Amino acid sequence: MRVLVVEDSEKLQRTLALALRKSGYAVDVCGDGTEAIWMAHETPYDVLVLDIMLPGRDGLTVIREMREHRIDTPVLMLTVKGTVDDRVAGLRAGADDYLTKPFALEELIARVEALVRRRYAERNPVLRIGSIELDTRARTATRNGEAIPLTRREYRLLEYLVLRRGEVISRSELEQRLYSEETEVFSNVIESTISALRKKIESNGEPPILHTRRGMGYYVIADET
Amino acid sequence: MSSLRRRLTWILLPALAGLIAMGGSVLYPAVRQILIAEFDSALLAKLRAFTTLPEPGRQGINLGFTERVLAEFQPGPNAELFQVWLQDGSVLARSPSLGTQDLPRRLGSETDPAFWSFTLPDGRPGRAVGIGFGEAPSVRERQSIRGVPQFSIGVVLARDTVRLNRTLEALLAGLWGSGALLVLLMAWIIHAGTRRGLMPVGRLAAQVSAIDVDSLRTRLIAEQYPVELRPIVEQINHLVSRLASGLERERRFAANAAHELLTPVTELRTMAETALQWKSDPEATGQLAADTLDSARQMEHLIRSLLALTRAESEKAALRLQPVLLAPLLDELRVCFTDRMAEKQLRLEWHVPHGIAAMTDRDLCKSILFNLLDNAVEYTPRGGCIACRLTIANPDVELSIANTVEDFPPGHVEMLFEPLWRKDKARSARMHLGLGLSLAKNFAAAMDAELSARLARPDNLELTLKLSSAGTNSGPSTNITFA
Repeated sequence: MRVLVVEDSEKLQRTLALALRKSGYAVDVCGDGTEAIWMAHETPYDVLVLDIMLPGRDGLTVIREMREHRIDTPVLMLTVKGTVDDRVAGLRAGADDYLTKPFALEELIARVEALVRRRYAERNPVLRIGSIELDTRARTATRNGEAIPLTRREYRLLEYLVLRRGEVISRSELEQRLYSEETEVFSNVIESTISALRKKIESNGEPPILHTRRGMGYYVIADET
Repeated sequence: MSSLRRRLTWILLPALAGLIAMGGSVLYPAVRQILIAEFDSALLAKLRAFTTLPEPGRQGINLGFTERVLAEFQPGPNAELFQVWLQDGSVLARSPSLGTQDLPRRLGSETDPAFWSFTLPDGRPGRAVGIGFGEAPSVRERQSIRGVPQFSIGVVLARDTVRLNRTLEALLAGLWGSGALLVLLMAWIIHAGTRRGLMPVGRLAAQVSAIDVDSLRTRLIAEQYPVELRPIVEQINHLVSRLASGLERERRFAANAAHELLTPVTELRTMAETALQWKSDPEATGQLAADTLDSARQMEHLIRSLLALTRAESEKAALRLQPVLLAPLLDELRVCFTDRMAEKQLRLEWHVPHGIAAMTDRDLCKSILFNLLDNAVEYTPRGGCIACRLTIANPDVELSIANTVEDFPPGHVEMLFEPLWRKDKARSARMHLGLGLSLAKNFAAAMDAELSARLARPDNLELTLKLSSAGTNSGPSTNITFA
């Protein structure tokens, strides 16, 4: 999952990026409203964490312009203005959720997770595909109750594919979703991660769930015969 | 006396009571005079009728007083009195009511009778008239006139004034009573009149008391009030306007202060939570510790700046006013900003003549100038221009620092000196808290100097510091243009 943190305080920007990366997200950051619109336009983020008071263009303008350009990325608005009017203005401008500063980090991460699930029409924090369960809160994968030891990258890849189950996801889209701008993506990183993931999640006697459609991309499906 | 109505009542009522008393004091003597004159007139008429009765007889004077005539002079409670004297003073006759007593013998002429008040012999108050009539010829002449002896007699007629006095007393009582009644009536009229007259004041008070924090945009309509109250209404409207803008400033200050404090608090909290959650990652915790320290320093800077502002506003720090040459001070400060100006490719126009001195506190003045230059360098867009001009405008010295601005609405000029106000709401430049110009303005005020701002052009903001001149020494002028 790829998140854009738009915050003018560099320290908060760094800290939120660190916390979200540690929580398994690919994170990009910027501190300017105009740049945020450009980045949201260029990259399909799963969630935008957006401060309201920004140089360039303020957060509300950013949301409005994004929606005008039909960018439907869920927006978690951060604001020091906690009045009902301010929150209503943000939500009416197109924000999906809000947090008033100062906030609990745990709550911010939980709200980002909820927005990701909502984006993929998934209400349950536990995702199921075949005999595999993904707990999006604990970021763990299990098969019949037994933990599957996945790396952070493998988990992120699997979670994204499960959220988009049945859809063929191209390699470039996976790169965009799973890696931030700061990360240098090697050409075969997706293939090698897919390969490692396949080995870990597939077991004897059960139909495979992770498939490759040659020249197009990858998809997961529970019961393909 | 706090009540206007009571005050008006206490001014008007004694005045009206005085007027009523004055009227009474004129009216009563006049009426009394008229009644006494009427009484005297009746008394005189009776006396004149009386004087027609005596006739000279062969054996002296025949008074001609019949029983019918004497009926009123019989002894009784209302008896009238008379006494007749001959010219020699011998008593010719007395009224039966007088008995053997005498009336005062005070005689006037027929054309000018003598009137007087006195107490009748029986103790009643009375009034008398006395006339001497008939010639007073010699005995020889008396014999010679038509053979009939002539006579000269004096008559005093007296009557009690009990009824007259009662009438006068009744008149006096009536005057007192009606006067008192009038005073009471006037008191009520004044009370009711002032209440009615002052109703707009009450209405104004009600409207003013209905103005609260949420209705400071309400203005009273002066035309709805009497002319006398309109200046007050207009002043109240001005006061409410000032109050509204003051409250608006306070609100902005509170919001700005909250933002200034909440942002570092959010940073601190988030950094602490992140450090706790991933404490095993030394790289992350190291960065977080450094950032935490930086946030704490920023908060300290903010709090110290706010405290300095409070001190500048309240205490007017101890000043050491002395002549200070401004050019060396400005040159010293200019050097501090050379690198930043070069980095932003700013053009500097420096018109600072040497030898101009201002009466100022060197440290405070330096602090103000640093703030002005710092703001100019910080907020001039890349490639913009900063112009510094020092001029003499007797008896002042004017230093203006103008810089290029972008997208600066004229309405922002008056907010420049508000504490924590920043055009850029994002507050990205954390060391610029929006307190510098507030402090500079307060420092200037403390030195009786004046710091003002104006938009010289839509893209040019000019801040002018006006200081008291401390004289000039001709010296070389520094006119520099850095590109």
